[in-house]
Amino acid sequence: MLRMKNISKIYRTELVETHALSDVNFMVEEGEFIAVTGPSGSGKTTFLNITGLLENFEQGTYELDGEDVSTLDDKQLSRLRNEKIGFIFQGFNLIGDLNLYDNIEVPLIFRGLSAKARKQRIEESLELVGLGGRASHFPAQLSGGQQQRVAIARALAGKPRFLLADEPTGNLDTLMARQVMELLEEINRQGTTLLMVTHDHELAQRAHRNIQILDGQLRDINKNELVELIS
Amino acid sequence: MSLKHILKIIIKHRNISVMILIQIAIAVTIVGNASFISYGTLKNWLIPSHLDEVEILNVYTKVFDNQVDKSALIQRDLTNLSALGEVTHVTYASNELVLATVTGSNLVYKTIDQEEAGFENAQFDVTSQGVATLSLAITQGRNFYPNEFVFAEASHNRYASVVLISETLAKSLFGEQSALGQTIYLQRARRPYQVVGVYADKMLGEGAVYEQQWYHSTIVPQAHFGNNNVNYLIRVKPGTHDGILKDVEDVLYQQHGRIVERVEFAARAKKRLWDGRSTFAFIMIGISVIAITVTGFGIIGLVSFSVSIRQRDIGILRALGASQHTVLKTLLLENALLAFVGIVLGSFTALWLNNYFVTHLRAQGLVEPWLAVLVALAVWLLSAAAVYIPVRKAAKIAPARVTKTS
Ligand SMILES: Nc1ncnc2c1ncn2[C@@H]1O[C@H](COP(=O)(O)OP(=O)(O)OP(=O)(O)O)[C@@H](O)[C@H]1O
Ligand SMILES: [Mg+2]
Repeated sequence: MLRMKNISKIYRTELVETHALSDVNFMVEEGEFIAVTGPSGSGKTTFLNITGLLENFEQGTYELDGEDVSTLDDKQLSRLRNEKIGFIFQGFNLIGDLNLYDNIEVPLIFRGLSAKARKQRIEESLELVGLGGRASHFPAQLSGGQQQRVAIARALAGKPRFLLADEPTGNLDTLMARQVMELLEEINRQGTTLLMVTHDHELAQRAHRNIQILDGQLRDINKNELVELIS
Repeated sequence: MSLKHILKIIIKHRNISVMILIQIAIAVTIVGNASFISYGTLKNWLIPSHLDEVEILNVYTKVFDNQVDKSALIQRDLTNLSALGEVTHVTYASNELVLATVTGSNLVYKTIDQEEAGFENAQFDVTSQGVATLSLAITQGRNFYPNEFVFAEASHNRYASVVLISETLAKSLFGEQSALGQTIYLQRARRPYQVVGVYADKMLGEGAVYEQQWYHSTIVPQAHFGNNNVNYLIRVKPGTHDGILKDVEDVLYQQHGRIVERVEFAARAKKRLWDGRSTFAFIMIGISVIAITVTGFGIIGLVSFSVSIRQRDIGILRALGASQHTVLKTLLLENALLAFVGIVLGSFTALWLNNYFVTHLRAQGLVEPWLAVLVALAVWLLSAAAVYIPVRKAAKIAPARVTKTS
């Protein structure tokens, strides 16, 4: 469903040029579960952003469902983002002025769903992450782990075909992390393609495929290498 | 984002919301009133005077020598002034001059009843050529007979018994009834006069104009003398040049014991009357321009601030699939709602203030509904334009901005 060829991304500030990604080639098939690992600052989030149409790139081509994204304008990109892609950000990125219900509702409104359909999806997804009774709470009234779950609920409520998760378990304890992981695996089993950044090699092992980013270079690694990396 | 979410955010950020709202309300109040007053003044300017403004002269003189026989002086002046080539008619005017009040306010009453409030009225006390000097067109009844004129020392308390009144005054006093043969009562002493004729409207009296009784006037065939003021109205031929002013002055100076205070065309008196009011309108227009500028920049500043503390939220919206266009629309809608409330609030204060100006400061310019709507629209557009600048910048916030940090 996704094909990247020779993608590069350079950040220029007054002092330095950072080659966040260089010459990345990457393909994803429908229904895959791919884990992305790599040290801090290696370019994982940048990679995810480009994949999720949040950032543009300098060179190369990127086709999503056969469509060359560099030919699309802001409106078309926003629409694709809203309809096809679900995000779980590294931070939670909830809107502090709105309660949980409204937070989850916002992308569904962009989608143009009816109020009734929205209500059903919001309740379902909050239930799924174990925050059923707290729709009227505000993000500031929740713990970090709970906020992370709301962010997951928001991504799931849109029923995206492609879920991008940037350290979705980073703020959770082991038990909660395992539950969230199981949830994501279940979603994946039901057909959603999953691309997940993680520092946790144990979680990474549960993916179908592993890739590693090192200094902006991307490479596939096999399970054995992953085990080596752990030890 | 739906309307519901926008409202919730407005309420969450109520401090800034209220400030934006008050800015707009103040702008509407000031600009609204300035427009009402300016428009009112302009509209009054355009009321036709029906006067031959450049063919009538007001003449003001003062006799300082108490030994001078005023009766004889006036007779000589009338003769000498009539002898001037350009002068066609001249009258002694012992009360008002054209659009210039010489003695206090003049009122006209329908009854002798002390309770009756009466109408503001221009009262012209004239000698035999008075009607011709003002060139009044009698539409009902008759002109004065020569024997109806009274020319007397003020202290003798001799008054005329008949009067001519303007059409508008006839209507004010008697409605559809005929005014002819009716008795009216002039000034606070409520002296009775019988109406013998009605003439076509002319704008004649300063006091009456001030009370917006543009065409209320009476012509009384009586001329009292005795105090220091000796004034005349002169009609000159069409196209007479300003040189006549000097000629008139020279003629009057031939008589000893007096000074000539002023000789002027009626046009000049009219301009003087309006200038004072225009000044108020101009000041209001000036204040409005300042108010508009301050509001414009104030809104830009406040919205910039309100948007900058929400950059992260806007980035999230973008990441969740809001296009720049959607963000722009959302923020514009949010501010349009604030502007709407501000305008409604401002309109109420504007009405209140207008009422105050009109009743306490005698400003002209009651509320014109269409003008109020125009002002509201203009302020709304202005606020939208002011909001557009920071909001367009906000819409360009890169969605990636929020995804990198926690
Ligand atoms: N907007 C930016 N401007 C300049 N440099 C940037 C920007 N965003 C990222 N970088 C740089 O690009 C590199 C990759 O950043 P990125 O956020 O993708 O790393 P990461 O692998 O997600 O790290 P982490 O595991 O800490 O989240 C870093 O060196 C970072 O400093
Ligand atoms: Mg990262």
